Amino acid sequence: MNFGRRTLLQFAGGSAAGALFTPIPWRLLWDSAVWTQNWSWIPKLPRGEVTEKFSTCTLCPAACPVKARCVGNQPVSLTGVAATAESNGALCPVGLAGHHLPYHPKRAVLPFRRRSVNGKVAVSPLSADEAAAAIAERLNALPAGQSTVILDERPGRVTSRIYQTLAAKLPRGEYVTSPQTEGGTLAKLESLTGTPAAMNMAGADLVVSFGTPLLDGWGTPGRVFAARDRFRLIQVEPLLSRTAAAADLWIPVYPGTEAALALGLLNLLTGAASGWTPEKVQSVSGVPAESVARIAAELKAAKAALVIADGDPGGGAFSPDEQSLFAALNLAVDSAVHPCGVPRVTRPIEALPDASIGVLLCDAASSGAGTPWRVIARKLAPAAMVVSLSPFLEGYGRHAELIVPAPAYLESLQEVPTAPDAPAAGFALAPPLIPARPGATEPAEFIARLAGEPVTLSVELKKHVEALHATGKGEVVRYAGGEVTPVKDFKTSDELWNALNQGACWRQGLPAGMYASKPSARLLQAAVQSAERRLAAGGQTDPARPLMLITTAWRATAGNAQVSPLLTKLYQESELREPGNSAAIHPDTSQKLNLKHGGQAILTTACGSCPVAIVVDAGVMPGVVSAVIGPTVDSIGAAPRNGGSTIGDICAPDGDAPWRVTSAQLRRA
Amino acid sequence: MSTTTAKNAKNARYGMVIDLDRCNGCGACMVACAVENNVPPAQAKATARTGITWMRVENVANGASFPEHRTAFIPIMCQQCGEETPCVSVCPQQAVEVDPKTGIVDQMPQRCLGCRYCMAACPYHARYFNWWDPEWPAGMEKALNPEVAPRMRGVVEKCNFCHGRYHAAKAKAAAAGRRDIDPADYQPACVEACPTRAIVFGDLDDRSSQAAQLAKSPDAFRLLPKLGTEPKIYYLTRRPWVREIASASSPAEVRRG
Amino acid sequence: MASQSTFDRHLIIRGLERCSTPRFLLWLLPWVLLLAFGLYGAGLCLVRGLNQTNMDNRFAFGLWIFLDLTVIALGAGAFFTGFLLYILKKKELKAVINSAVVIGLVCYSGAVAVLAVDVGQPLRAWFTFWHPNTHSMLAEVTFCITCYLTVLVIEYLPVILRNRKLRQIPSFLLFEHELHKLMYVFAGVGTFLSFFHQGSLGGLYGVLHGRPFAYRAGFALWPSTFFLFILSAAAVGPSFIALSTWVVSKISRKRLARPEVYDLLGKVSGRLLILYVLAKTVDTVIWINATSPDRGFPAAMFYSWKPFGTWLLFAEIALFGLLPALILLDGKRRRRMPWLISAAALASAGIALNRFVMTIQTLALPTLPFDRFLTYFPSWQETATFLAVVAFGVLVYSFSFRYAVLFPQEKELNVAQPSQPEPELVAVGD
Repeated sequence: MNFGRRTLLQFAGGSAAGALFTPIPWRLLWDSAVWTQNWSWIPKLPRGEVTEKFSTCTLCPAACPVKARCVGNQPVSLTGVAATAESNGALCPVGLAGHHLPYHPKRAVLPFRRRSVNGKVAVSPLSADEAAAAIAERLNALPAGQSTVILDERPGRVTSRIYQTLAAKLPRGEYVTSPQTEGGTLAKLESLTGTPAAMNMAGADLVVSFGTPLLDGWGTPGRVFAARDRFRLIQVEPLLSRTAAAADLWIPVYPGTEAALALGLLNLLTGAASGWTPEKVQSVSGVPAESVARIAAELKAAKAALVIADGDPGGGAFSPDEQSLFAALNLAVDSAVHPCGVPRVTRPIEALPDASIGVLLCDAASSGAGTPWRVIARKLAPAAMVVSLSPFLEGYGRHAELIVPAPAYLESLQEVPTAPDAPAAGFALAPPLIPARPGATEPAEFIARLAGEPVTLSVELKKHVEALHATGKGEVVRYAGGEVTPVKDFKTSDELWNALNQGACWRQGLPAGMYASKPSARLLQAAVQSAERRLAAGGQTDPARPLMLITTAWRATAGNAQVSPLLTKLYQESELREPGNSAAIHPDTSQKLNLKHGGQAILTTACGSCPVAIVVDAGVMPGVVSAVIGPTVDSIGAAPRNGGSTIGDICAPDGDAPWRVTSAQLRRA
Repeated sequence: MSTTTAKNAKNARYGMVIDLDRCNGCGACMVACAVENNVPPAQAKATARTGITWMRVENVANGASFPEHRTAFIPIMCQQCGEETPCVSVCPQQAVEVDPKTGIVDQMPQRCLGCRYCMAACPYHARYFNWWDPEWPAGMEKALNPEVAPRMRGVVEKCNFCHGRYHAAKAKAAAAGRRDIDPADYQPACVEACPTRAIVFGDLDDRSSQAAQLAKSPDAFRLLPKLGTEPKIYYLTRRPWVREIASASSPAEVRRG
Repeated sequence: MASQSTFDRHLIIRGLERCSTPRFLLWLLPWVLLLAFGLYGAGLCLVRGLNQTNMDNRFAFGLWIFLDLTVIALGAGAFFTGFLLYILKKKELKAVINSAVVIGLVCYSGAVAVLAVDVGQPLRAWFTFWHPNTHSMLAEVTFCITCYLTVLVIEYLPVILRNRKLRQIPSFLLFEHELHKLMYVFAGVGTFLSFFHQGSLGGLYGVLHGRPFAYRAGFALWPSTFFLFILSAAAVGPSFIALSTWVVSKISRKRLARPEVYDLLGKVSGRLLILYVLAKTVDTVIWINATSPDRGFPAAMFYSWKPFGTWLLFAEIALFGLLPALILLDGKRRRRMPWLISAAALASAGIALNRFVMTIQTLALPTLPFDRFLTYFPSWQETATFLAVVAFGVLVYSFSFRYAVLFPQEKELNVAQPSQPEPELVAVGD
């Protein structure tokens, strides 16, 4: 038999036809399809017993109770706790994905040092002991006139008290707090009258908010939304924010002139600011005279009104003098403010002399606000050492030389002080739900080591709970089931401690009386005069920077905060929220500057320039740039990348009122 | 539960009523949805047009300029069409089905070929394609929901009213000897997460359910009403301009600059 | 022909003049390179996923589907010529049937190859046969294209088997002979399948009742686009055969078919095209006045987003439909090559435009009241993948032309100039 090409062809043809009658090709089809359903690189689902655990959210000052669905020891979803009046089951998007934060790609687990060598950033790991030694070395050689500063992001905690004590033990130690927007109006009221104040929003029938994102990240969202059905909301703000859009009445105002409206209202309600007729208010702030009269009439008619001027987390607080006017407005009407709460201890960083900080120890907590770095930087001495104790590389971590990371959210026992909008003082524990990674250092314990005074946070917290138990006051709300137990009914402080560790919060009882304290006429007059001076000084625009830059941030996404990579759903995979470094301008402004929606531009202020993405938005006042301080698309989920300037870096803080309005220039990139 | 209810499990027609006047556009529903359904974070190159958001909150404006400008938010997800479901009939291999027991339009990613014909068919743009393989930052895969399998690249997915939760509620009812599930046991993740309680979920055929009652409100309407798709998602608003835009039967009625 | 290698020479049909082997290889080279480049692009799409394309959740279909539909419509020349030849006994068309079959095969296999890249999970393609949804137009399309591709392969076999070398194998010869006798059956089956799936492709869009721009009322199960697609493909198919024959004859510098063949193709095309234009016009009028407004969409709206204005509708129906139809219906003009070819080119472009409108414009247009009009531009990977199909087509056609009888009249038409010197500038597909 000859084997030729022909035989070979015949053989091949026959084999091909014959193979169809064997299982081989069919099996291959089947298996390949099954393979596409079981790709090895697609993560396998966690297995284990499903349980429910409780904690309290520490990502911002809102103090929301949290229910975690856990598989084994791993939370797989977080929700609010519907059974409690503290939050009515609400949790914000940042909180809903908070259990991802321990796995954030921009998280630091071990301490490291960052040094600039020939313009390049060099990173070297070191142990916590080495870090402590490096700081101690610097502390020992601290030049005269320079101080060691502990920057507290969330005052009012047990930790804050520890910081205060420790500051006294450090060489020329100072305790300061980062700018706090939330609770600003009530804090001012307290300082004017000397009586603690809290708001009873649930009882309010009218709320006048000056630039406060009342419905988009302020107070405890669940509590605000539950009260929202009962009060009328007037929002005074230069742009159509989410809160303005959902308000019953939106009163646009020229940036920086909110105080003029407050003066006009004070004049109509009390006569305290004579000369501030509605017409004058209109000429200064752009608020129509009839609107001024209308708001005054509404305030007068309200049975329980609240005036809140806490400012935007990225827009900065009002100056103390402006804040005095807003605080005073609460006393000029039938108010929903009551004499309650805890004294708020803040020591603003503004109080420090410029260029005086030799060593800055930045707390790991997040105030929720996006404080421009310049606010802190101007207080730093040349070659000051900045230490960040945050587990994230965003925020202060971007500027720190040493990073000694704290445990991430849900990894360690934390405490939760009174929420800014709480009707009475409160306290909760945030028990850990995930084992901490080795290497993480509790900030208070680390600073205590520097001060040579060992402290264990959990011990201090337990002492605090013992003290609570000793007073016998207030009640405890258990998150599981919402059961309320008076503190008196806890036989031992251990019982109370255990309850709080299983997910519960303590709250003070509501007071009976009205808020009767009044500020002295002299103080008020001084505030009026100072606010008038400020208004007169404003309005002078620099022809080279003709635009007014106002900044906004969504709470718990800016500053020291980090968001879950899943927040790309809001920033990147939809256009729901504008990411950091986007600048919204009115269509007229965009036309004048020849800028298109989505285009790139350079925003310049006296403090520098920042590349921005243009958003054309008819809800922004012409001539105004509303820029976002917050996560950029790069920083939400992607690998660490530091450097580059952000909007927060180019805001110009002035004396006592940080960065509310900055004159700026926009040009095409 | 009484034994009479245990005999016959009724067919339900699940739907939602979303109050646009309560929605403040926070995005909690979108995040809760992604957590529940194991939708991964965006790939670096993903955009609003290639990302996966079963639940997507759209921002609409009244078209007026400052200071008359107003905005509202409209959460959009699979509208769970009740009639002529556009996506079901087009799928070449029955990867999309309507469950007659619940009325839920379900997508079977394991059977999906990825031809995307259903996406072209859907007028609500509620279907999403996995342009990439799903990827979570190292460690985050430990935090996945154990009830929902992650999808592979190349398949289509969409809202299914948190089908995993439906099955869990059924299992719970079965364990308790009931045929019908307790409505409190079955709430999709977005409904549960909404901090303003803007979304009400329930059986539209059950007259006692809040959803069924709200759906009959004079303020209620549905999207693209004239297409005849009979969606089971209703929207509520008392703001005339929002209603005018959202209930319009085509973009022609609302041409904005 | 000393420059042809022995093996190559033995493969070439006796009596046909073909260029030298190196020249042929030189002609192949750019196409092979293009094919390789395209396969690289397609490979990226397969390995890394469809994120390599610029398609997105709104543009779920893009360049590929648009061109697939176009290619399949143009490939309709194969089935329709077969139908005319074997069923209606238009014997003149024997002159081009082999070429038509090759073009059909190239178009269909190319389209299927691109589809395999276009779907997200090609390995599950067979699920359509396993869990078919009989209501789905796409399932119909899948069945018909698969079956018809098989028919085309069968129709292509005799063309190949008639090769000199292969004929030496007795069993192949016998097979070819038997197959040829059965060709009427295959032509019939092919015609049915082809009609049906051209229709299904039209139905693909016509049934989208959520997309009023594409949605059409119809008869029984089938929307009007079902019939329009059949008619348009049947009308343009012969035009494209004429066009491709002309292009091949220009490139090869040979006369390939008698003028009567061109004339017949033009005449058939013209008559069907005018029918199509009429039907399309009636359909458009009904759609504008009833179908679309009934679903809440005033048709004028569709044309209010630039650049897709009403000019597109005009171009589709009048410029690329009516105009070529009138030219082709005019016997005097039709018999003059430049007119015939221009008309055929216009008609072919018209069908591409129609498929573009149905695919791209449908997806670009907003549906929700607060939607935006979106645009899309294909990525290089998408373009390259399609170019691979073009290159593949040219290569298959070139080989077929060189080694098989695609045009039976070629031998007698070119015998007059036996010692014609080889043209200098021939780009040579031969």
